[in-house]
Amino acid sequence: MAAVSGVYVRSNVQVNARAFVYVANEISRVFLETINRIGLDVTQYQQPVIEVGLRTWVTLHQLEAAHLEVVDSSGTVRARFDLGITYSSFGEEIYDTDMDELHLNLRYAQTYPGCSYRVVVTLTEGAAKVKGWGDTTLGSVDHLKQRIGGNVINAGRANVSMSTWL
Amino acid sequence: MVIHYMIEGNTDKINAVDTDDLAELCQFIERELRAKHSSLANQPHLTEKVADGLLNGLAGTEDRVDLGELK
Repeated sequence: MAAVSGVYVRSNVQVNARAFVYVANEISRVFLETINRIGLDVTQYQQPVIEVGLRTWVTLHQLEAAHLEVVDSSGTVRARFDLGITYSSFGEEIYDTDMDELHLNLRYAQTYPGCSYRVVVTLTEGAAKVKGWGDTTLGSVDHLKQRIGGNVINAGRANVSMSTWL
Repeated sequence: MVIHYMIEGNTDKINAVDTDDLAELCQFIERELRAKHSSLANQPHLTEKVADGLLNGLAGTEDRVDLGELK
């Protein structure tokens, strides 16, 4: 008698795709939670443009880090939240965002009234151009202290760790 | 893997390289599309369209990748 299983086994490329969709979406979620926590306006977050960029660069393994940079009216960086991406060609299919770890990373962050923010990405050389994004440089954080945290997003094929400059 | 798309109102498809590496797959499809259609040869944002279509097709529950209309 033939055995029949109802379990749908996804191929490796499908697992990779689901992991990358998850990571791109969750980077946005982490940034939105951070923006909310530090008292800035989440409605200024250009989610469609940001997520198209993240999806493209994660798919191509070109996204090295995503940064949320908070600047005051003089242009001085008041805080920066960095999400570093690591890729793996194997790993179990998991989808986990550690909000406790995120909040632990944010415990020294203040609110930043009157400040604005932007999302900046660090890409590999020759990365794809994406509509709505342009070249820029990060502001100096020499006057801030870096704190390195743990993984906030775990998706097996791509994981994201957080550090803060406060 | 067969990749479906539309261009100038017509449906078309390409046979993609068999790989688990999404970056390789995306770059292969983009190269094929640019070579096959002169209107896409210098399209600056084709990469994001291909990447988005691949993710939507492969991460979903259907075994079909459709990139939609490519301009």
